[in-house]
Amino acid sequence: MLEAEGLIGRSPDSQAYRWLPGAPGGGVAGSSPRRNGLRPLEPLRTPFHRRTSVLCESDSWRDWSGYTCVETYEPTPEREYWAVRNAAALIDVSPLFKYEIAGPDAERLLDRVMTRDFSKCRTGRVMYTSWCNEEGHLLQDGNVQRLAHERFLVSAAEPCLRWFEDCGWSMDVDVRDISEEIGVLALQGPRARAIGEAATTGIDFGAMRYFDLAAGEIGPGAGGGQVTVTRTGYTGDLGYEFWVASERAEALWDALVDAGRDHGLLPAGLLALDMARTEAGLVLIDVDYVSAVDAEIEVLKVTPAEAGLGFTVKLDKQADFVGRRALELERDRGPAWAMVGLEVDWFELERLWSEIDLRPQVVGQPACREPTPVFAPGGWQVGQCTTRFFSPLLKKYLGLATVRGEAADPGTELDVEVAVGYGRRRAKARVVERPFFNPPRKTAVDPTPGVNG
Amino acid sequence: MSDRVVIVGGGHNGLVAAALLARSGRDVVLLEARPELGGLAATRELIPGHRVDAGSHDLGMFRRSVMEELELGGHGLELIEAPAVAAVPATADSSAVVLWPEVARTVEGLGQVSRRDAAAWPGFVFELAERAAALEPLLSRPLELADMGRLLIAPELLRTLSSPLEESLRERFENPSLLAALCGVALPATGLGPRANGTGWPLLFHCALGGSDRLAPVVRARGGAGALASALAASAAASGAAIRTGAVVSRILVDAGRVAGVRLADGERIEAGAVISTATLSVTFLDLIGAPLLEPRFVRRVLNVKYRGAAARLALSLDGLPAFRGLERPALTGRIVLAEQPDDIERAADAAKYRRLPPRPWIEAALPTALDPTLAPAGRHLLLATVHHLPFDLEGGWATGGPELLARVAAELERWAPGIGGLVREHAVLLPTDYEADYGATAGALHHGEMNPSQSLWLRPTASAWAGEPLPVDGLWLGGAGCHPGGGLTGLPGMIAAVSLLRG
Repeated sequence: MLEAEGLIGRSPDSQAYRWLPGAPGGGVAGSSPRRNGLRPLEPLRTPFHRRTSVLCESDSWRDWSGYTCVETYEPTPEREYWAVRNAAALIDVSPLFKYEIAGPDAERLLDRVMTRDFSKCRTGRVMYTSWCNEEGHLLQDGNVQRLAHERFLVSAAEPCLRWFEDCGWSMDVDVRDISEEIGVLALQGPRARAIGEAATTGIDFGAMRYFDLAAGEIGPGAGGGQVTVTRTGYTGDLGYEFWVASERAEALWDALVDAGRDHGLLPAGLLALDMARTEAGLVLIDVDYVSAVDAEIEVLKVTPAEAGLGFTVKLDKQADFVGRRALELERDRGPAWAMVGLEVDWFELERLWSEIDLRPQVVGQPACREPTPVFAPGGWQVGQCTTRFFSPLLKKYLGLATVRGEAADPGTELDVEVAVGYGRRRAKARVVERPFFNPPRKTAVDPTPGVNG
Repeated sequence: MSDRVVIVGGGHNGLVAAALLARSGRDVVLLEARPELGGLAATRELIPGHRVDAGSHDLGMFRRSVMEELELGGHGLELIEAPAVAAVPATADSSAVVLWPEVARTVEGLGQVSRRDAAAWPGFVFELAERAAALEPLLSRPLELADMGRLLIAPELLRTLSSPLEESLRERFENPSLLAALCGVALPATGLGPRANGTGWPLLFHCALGGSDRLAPVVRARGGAGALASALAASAAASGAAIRTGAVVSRILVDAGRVAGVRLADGERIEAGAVISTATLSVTFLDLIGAPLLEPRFVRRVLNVKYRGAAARLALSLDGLPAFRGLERPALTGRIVLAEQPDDIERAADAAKYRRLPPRPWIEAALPTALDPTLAPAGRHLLLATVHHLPFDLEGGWATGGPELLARVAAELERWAPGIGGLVREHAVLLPTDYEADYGATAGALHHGEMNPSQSLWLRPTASAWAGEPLPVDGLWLGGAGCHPGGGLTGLPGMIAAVSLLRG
């Protein structure tokens, strides 16, 4: 089914790469201004913009890869955040870069680029993976959908067409930047399955396991246009992502919004998404780690294990992938850094703030991305905390931090610098397991609202 | 591990490496895909009864010490030095200009066209020789970082090699034909017009390897450039090297990061502990080894090599010597540059940039039979017209572009040598696509990668390293024109490969 009439038209020309050379280090060429590595003069608009813009009461927008994206529809992101956890939220994540990789050598190319084993990725599955440079330093992380035996879709936060070209030279594979051709909506939250079912036809949501994909039609009736659904997301909750041809994007939005009326569906902006992903302990490129492409100095580069993505590295796989030798060496000597969860001691925080007669000014705030140092108790710096926020659900002040390997064990006591008014103070924190929040419904088979947590 | 050294490619560089290694007692197998040896310096019977040089045929830059070491004289190589270096026939603006190796003779001739240029000539030749001499030691061995000092203490040398050639020449000379002659000596197979930065480099390169204290003379082998290949092959064979023609290498075999040998197109496998590839970098790494075995950043480095500046050759069998305006017979023995002024070359390069044919091609012509009548049947003369600065990826393709180019070349020849059309009896053509198909010259680039400062000296790979890093496959050595010091009939890349391999 996916083979025959896929979401994306397969090019007849699988022999040759069809892109033009782009900027070094991941720049790509094409029609869109952002692809030239230049900042567009006019902000770009996602295929959902006509829908999202009329709903954005706050007029609060953010640039994401050159696109104008809603930060928060309402003046504060709190209701949107709660929709993710208690009902469902609809998030426009179209600015992701998307590449179609098709041809007899498609699997071979992915197995060369990616740290995961794509010989084990069946058609109809999605794999979350890392990819590295020759030194084993992390370039990006992202999802790869296997749409057909010889056809994949890679979604990534940063451009990487050139990298695929360099890694796949002379392979019988066609790599295409289809970022502009596809809109993506994330439908996340406990009611997501019910809404998805009502908004589409031909997809058995009950049969979709975590990281499965399926194709169907938009709307309850026929003729709404094709949509591919993946059971994936960036919130750590039950959720799906809908991949649609840009011209059918608004039809998809309307179908989901219609279906969501009885389920408390809210459109959610990037601030709510950021809160949810931090709670889920998911790392974010450029915030929690720096891609080796962008790292200006060597010390900023990390391996997947150091970014908390060691589980995506499959050194037992057959194919020789870029960075393998370096990662084998790292396996033998152990990673120098670790990505950990931090829980800041709340009583300590209250005490510090009480010194200036305030309660901790962290509740009700979006996640903070200002990196701050992390110390051994009363001692030297052992790392940095890159994201932190007060979880409205868990009622805890939480952070994602990169620390020295020896300070990474759960339960380790550390100090983290916090801003208390104009002062910089050290608060006690403890290393805790990630994810901070991990409901069974996220991965449940045949998820049912109210039953799977 | 096998002690055998396999050499991929029987061009002059591969043969030099084979002969030197065999002479040092190594077990050498040289594999040439074509039926004849010599590669881009082969002589072929492209016209029945004629010995036509397919590519380079000026041995002026060939290392004399290698010739002596390999006793090429004893193996049948006979050199003929042409009396003239370069000549431009008379034009509407200028009488004919002829450059001779001898300074006084050139000055005498230049006096007829420009007293100023005649006066400036000795100083120019002296200065060129001085700069070339400073450069020469850098060209015959792998470079070390310390060698950079030689360039840094010679700011004038640096300035000349990085400047536009025409600009440097105009500091001294005014006559358009003289300027065209010097550009015509320097710029063949570069892809760059004389107004491009870095075009000073090819002239210095040419003089460093071809001259000593005078302008580098044209030197030919009796019987055609292929006689050099024959002599090298005879020398190598006498030392025990196995030389096979018609042996198409389809793969350099790599096992755990080390060469294991080669596989031929017919499936034969030849074990080897070392492989010297004289193919282009593109062919060696992307085709013979294969990109998936290489790190992506290395693949990118290979892909970034520029191969601009393709050439086409038209060989004409003539009933007699053509009458180039104002040129006597001795003047016809060197290069005959058919360009009225540097702009003619610049415009050809401009057209190539936009993938078009030059409206009026400039031609580097040679009459090898003026020196060596044995190359053609009695009564016939052979004219080799080489058109430079052609785009490889010609707009519209070479199937239609080839005949169009021929028509334009014929018209130009008629303009420079009226009546030449009536002398033509037979002809043969090699287009850029033929150079790639027949000789593996990527994009038809005769120098295996453009000769400009950005791809020369430290920036051109050497036998075992590239950009300061060892080659990614152990036991692989590079010995073709794509590596240091570069293209041309020098024998140096092959020599450097052999010497490096012997040193380990």
